[in-house]
Amino acid sequence: MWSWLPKNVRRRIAFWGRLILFSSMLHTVFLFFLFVVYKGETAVYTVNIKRSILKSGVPIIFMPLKKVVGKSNLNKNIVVNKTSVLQKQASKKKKIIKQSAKKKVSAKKKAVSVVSKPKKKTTVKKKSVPEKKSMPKKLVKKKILRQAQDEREKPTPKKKRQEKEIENKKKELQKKSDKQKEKPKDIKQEKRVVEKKIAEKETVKKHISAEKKEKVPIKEKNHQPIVQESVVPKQEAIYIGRHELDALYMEQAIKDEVSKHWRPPLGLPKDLLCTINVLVGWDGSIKNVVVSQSSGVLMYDISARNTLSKLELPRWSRGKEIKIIFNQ
Amino acid sequence: MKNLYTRLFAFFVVFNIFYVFAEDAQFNVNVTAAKHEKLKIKLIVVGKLSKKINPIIEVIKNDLAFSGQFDVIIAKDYCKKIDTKNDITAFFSADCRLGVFFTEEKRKKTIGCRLYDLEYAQMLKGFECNPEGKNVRAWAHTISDTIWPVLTNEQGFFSTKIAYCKKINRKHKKSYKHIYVADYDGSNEELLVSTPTVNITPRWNNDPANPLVFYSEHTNENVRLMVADMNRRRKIVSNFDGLNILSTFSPDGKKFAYCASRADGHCQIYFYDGELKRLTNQGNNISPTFADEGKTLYFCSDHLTGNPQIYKYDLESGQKERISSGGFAVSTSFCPKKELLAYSKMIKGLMQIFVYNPKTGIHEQLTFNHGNKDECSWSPCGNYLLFSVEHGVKSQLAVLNLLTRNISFITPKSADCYYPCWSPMYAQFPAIT
Repeated sequence: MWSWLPKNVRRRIAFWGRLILFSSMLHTVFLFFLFVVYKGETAVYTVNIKRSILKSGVPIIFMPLKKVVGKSNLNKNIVVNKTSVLQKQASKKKKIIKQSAKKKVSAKKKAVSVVSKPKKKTTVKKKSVPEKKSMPKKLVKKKILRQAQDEREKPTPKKKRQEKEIENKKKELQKKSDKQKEKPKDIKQEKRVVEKKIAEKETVKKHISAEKKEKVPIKEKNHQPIVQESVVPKQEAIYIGRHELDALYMEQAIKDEVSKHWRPPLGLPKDLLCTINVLVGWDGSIKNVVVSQSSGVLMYDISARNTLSKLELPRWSRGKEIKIIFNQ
Repeated sequence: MKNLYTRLFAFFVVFNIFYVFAEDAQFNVNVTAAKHEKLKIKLIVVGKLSKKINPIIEVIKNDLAFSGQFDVIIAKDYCKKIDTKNDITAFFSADCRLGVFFTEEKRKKTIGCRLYDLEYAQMLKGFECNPEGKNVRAWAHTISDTIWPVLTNEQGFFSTKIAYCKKINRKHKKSYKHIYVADYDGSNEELLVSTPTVNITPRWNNDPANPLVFYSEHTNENVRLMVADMNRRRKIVSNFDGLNILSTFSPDGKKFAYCASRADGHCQIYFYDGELKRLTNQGNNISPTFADEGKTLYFCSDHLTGNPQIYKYDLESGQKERISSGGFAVSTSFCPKKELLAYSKMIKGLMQIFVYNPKTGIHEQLTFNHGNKDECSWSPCGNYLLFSVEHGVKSQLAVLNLLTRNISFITPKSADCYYPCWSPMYAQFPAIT
């Protein structure tokens, strides 16, 4: 075991080195028992969670053997195994965001395709579904793709109608102007004609602008429901892992114990709040009492500290930090 | 074998480190109180218990216990000296963390007073009291007033006094009513006005340097308004025919209002601001009280309904506004600190105490038990209401603690006391000489 130590070392130094190594070995064995064996004395976990803590209406699935971390809306106050849990939560969040983004993109694509497609043709598409039975799958796919390409290339019937109407009106105007050029008339008549022209032009412009305006909301109307559907995530079940379950259980137990002894004096303002950070020692005693946020009323803070001295916290809370917020 | 040992050793080290970091956890617990409890505080005398300190400690104990928030313990074990922190922490117990140490310094002829956090031996407040004169109670109350803001973050009120009239029955003779002054808790009663007549409705002025008591004295011709200082010297303030009663002062002490009938059969409110003005013309108008730093005046009037109702009078615009409705509402008293108006209203044949919030316009009933409650008066801190409670023929004075909603009687049943009035905080303890 000591082979890696240099051989030309003095006896004294070698002795101290061996002693240090030996003691560190002993420490590791001791700590192993302390953290692993001793901690796990109560292996049976009792589940005692208030459903109000979680979002109502969402199904909850307890998976104590699975280390899957639940959604961040569990209880923001609980901080257990900061490094591991938070990282997992962050990675999960990223995944969810990515998924939602993908969904959004796909939904947008769908929306675009739906907007571009005329309503009638969508119905035609549905009718073409039973043809699948007779045709092979590859051919059907090819057909559908071709149809989709054609549809994209072809303008919509509404657009067609609008364009035709505009063209007709323009033609009529041109004809009228030609006729007027051909037939010279009195000045009064000319004036009337000019006025008419202007009026007609204005009406045509109005028509066109109105049509353009109308077009935009049609698109929006088609877009909105599809996009919204893709954005709103479905209420997925919350998977509560072992860590969350433990944390909830522990928090509830500590809360019960503190509220049993927390008795502030009467007649103080109701909005008082005192926050105390506490470290539970390995002997169960409370150490490092730090009033992180004072209420501003000495008697309130003192009574909060009084409750700490009466606490009998469970064994598993030993060596842990607790932040207690004392409310009126 | 050697390699195996080294591998095992390395494994244990890594395992150990992993668990040490893995178990680093913090819990956030948010707790609300289901029950309330008095906070324990110890009064400890350093050195021998002398005749000087003993009564002071008793008064301080009563002062702190009066609030209903403290459970005061006088430490039985007197410590000889305090040299080290351990001498202080020796008095610490799990349910008592606060201690007040009293030391008598005979050379300086002063009393040292130190408020300590007993757990950490940390001084929270320390001061020396230089007792002048013979009034031990005054010293004790000033000590309580100094400790109180440190503990509760509120101004002390222990140096205030109450004035009231007491019925004195004489055999085969007419009964008189004398004006008395006592400590806020009814103790240390002193006679201020003892003229052989009926003296009623004592009211304190608002001049912090010069405490005065205004009261009404029955004579053969009228009921005149008088004033008495703490040396029992008396003067006439208003001597018109008929009634001259119920004086009140603005918070700055410069404005003054009172009721006078001037022999026309109806009581009207008169306002003095360098010049005497009549504010009301119809019906009977009584019990004025200033509010909004002397800009408004609340009073009772029966000119509309025949039954007295509470009205608000704007002194700048001269506009009147009715506040109460139904019943029989009298004896208004405004608290400038809490900005609340207290008054008495008849509910099912009994007068009960109500509080009106001018900001919200909400009326709240404070008392519900038997006995007619009348003539309410606020403490300067706004946490207590003093009033008289009539049980049959006799009347007792009671204090309602608005923090705990407890009512405690401060005068004995045998005494017949009326018209209580709580003094403001004066610069000096208003002791009668």
